[in-house]
Amino acid sequence: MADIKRNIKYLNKDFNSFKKSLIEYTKSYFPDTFNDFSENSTGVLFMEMTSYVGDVLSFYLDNQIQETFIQSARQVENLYSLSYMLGYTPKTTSAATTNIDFFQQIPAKTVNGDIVPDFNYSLKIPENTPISSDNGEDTNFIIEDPIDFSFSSSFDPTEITVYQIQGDEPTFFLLKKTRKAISATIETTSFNFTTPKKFDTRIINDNNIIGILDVFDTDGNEWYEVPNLAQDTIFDTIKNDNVNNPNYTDNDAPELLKLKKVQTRFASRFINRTNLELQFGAGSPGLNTEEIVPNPDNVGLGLPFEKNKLTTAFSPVNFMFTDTYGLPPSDTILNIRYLKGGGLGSNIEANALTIINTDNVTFVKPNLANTTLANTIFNSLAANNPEAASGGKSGDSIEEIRKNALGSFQNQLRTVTKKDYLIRALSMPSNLGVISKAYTTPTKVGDSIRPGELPTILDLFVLSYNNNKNLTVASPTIKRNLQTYLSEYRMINDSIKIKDAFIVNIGVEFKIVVLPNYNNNEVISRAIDGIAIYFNIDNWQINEPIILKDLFILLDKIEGVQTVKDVKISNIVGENIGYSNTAYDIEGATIDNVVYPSIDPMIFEVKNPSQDIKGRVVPL
Amino acid sequence: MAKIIPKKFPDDLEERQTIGFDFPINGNAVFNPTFQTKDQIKANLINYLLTNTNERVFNPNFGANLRNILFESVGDSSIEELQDRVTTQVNSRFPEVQVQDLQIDTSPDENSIYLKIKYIISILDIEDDVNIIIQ
Repeated sequence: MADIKRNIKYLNKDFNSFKKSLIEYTKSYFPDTFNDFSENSTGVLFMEMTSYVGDVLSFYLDNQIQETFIQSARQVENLYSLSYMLGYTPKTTSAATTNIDFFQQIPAKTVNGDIVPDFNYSLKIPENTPISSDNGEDTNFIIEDPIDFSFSSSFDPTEITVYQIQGDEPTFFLLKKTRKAISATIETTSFNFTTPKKFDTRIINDNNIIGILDVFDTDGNEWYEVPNLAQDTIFDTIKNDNVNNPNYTDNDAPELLKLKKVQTRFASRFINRTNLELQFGAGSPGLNTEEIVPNPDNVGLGLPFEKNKLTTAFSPVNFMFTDTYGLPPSDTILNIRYLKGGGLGSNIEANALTIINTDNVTFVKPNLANTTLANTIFNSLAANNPEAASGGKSGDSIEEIRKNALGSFQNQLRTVTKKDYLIRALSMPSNLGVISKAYTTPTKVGDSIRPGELPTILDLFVLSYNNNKNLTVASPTIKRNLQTYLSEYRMINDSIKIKDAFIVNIGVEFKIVVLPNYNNNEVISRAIDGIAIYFNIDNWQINEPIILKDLFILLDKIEGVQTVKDVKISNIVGENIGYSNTAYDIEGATIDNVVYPSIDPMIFEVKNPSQDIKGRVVPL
Repeated sequence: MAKIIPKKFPDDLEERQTIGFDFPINGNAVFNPTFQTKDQIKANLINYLLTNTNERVFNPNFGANLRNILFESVGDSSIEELQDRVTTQVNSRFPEVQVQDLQIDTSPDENSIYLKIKYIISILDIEDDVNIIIQ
């Protein structure tokens, strides 16, 4: 039988093109079998149903392709999976941070004729103690490090001042300590495990999960979080003191960093904005947790041949190639503590965090004889945040996930290029505060760089958000956190200076001609909304110019606008009226309808769109 | 002597050429072919009258929407209204058809409506009718 070659069109994707091709195909190859192509024909009905199926299948094919690549994926679950694949952990929320001052009174005592504080009455506040605000806001902060008022050192000083005197002699002193706090509450949940199951998973369902605080089983064993189950070592920090460090001489490093091989481990990943999945391993229960030091015997353990070491990629946190993936929990209950909170509302104002949860506060020395005095001292405990909390914001938007994931993949945990530093700064863990805008540039060549020397010093300009989502300079706490965070990833000969970028507040004034039969007020309102969306601060980066032509085009497209007569950008300056103090010569910086930023990194911001964007209807 | 040639569609002249297929789909074969345009018009009329609006994919306005009448109270005025509606719909959907007569009998006890449409295929001068039961 002869081959029948038929002309089949493969480029059809939608209902109409399928239907058209089917009709053409029938006309070409079945001219004697079917001839009624009117809408009322039952045969056309069947063709339409086939076209419908084709359209649906095309949609699913397109959708599958779209969701396969991070550049085009739109469903949050898929973006989360793809971003984990590229090594980026998406944020579902970001916690605000601030410094909180803690105070307590302490009685005076006489020692060898000197009046000194009686540190027997000093208090101990454990880590993770909640501090809440007195202004009725439902925002809690917790301190990450414990407080011991009786301990003072260069990295954790206790300020002592005289609080009360009688005659010429002090009777009470005031002790002050400062701690970093993040906006979070500690939530607990527990999961029951019976028969061991390979790669068992459990899901924590909650809003605004910042991360896992700790996991303990009923036997008191700690389960450690690792980035992926193949990683069997963790960085462990221990206190730098005489017990742990025989060479201890000074206190310039409060903690020692060690590697620890752990079998009780889990990896966590967000499935979506409200579900955090914990996955456990598949090893046998005989495996032990031990501290290890990298040496030629254990580096590359698990590789089949010694020569494989030559060509294998090593990570300092995973240099053993075992395939146990940790233990699965069995016949136990895992008690999980996790942090939740953050969001824009957590950027709480200064002097608001004053209420301490004293449930776990104790005296350094128990069983004090003078209980009345002890009660007075206990009740004197107070807290306050001298600066407003900053850095809190909602989770990553779809675009932010996409951008950060691609950046994370490219820099491979090392910061090499300018963009590496930008992405690394923007991806700082949320419990350390959030940098909203960042910009890196080599330090300008000047006195600090000698002739012939390469400019290895980088300036990292950063900004954060306040609780109104307006730009503000990042607090010293966030900058310190960023400095510490970057030190883990920067190259050994890079030095970075973290600086504040300049904020230039602007206003927009425009004049438009409105089409006949349109309400002037409605058109102006739509135009103002359009410009407000254009200047949405999420879409702006440091050193981004304003292209006035874009604004003209944007206004031209607004319904009811006939002609755009004029668009003018002006600088709004003055802290006394609630704006940035940075003045900028907009007119001088405008060349060919582009408002260029200054040489010193800066960002344009429309702070109050409802006030700062003004429009006027003018006659043609 | 002059001879009057009967009017015919070109497709009707070929004996073995099918126009489409009959409706409703029944009989020995799944698709019974129609060889004359008038049979195909009748099948199309039945298809149209038995289709409700919003049933046809991507063509929500197609259909006479007769099934909804079952749930309406029926009186003389509503029957007249229905006759007008169906006549208008058929005339506009089938330009080659002219409705001559439309009879509607209701049987409330049997929850059904009988429609008998007499029509002329104007180009061919052929008279035909179609009976529909909606229940």
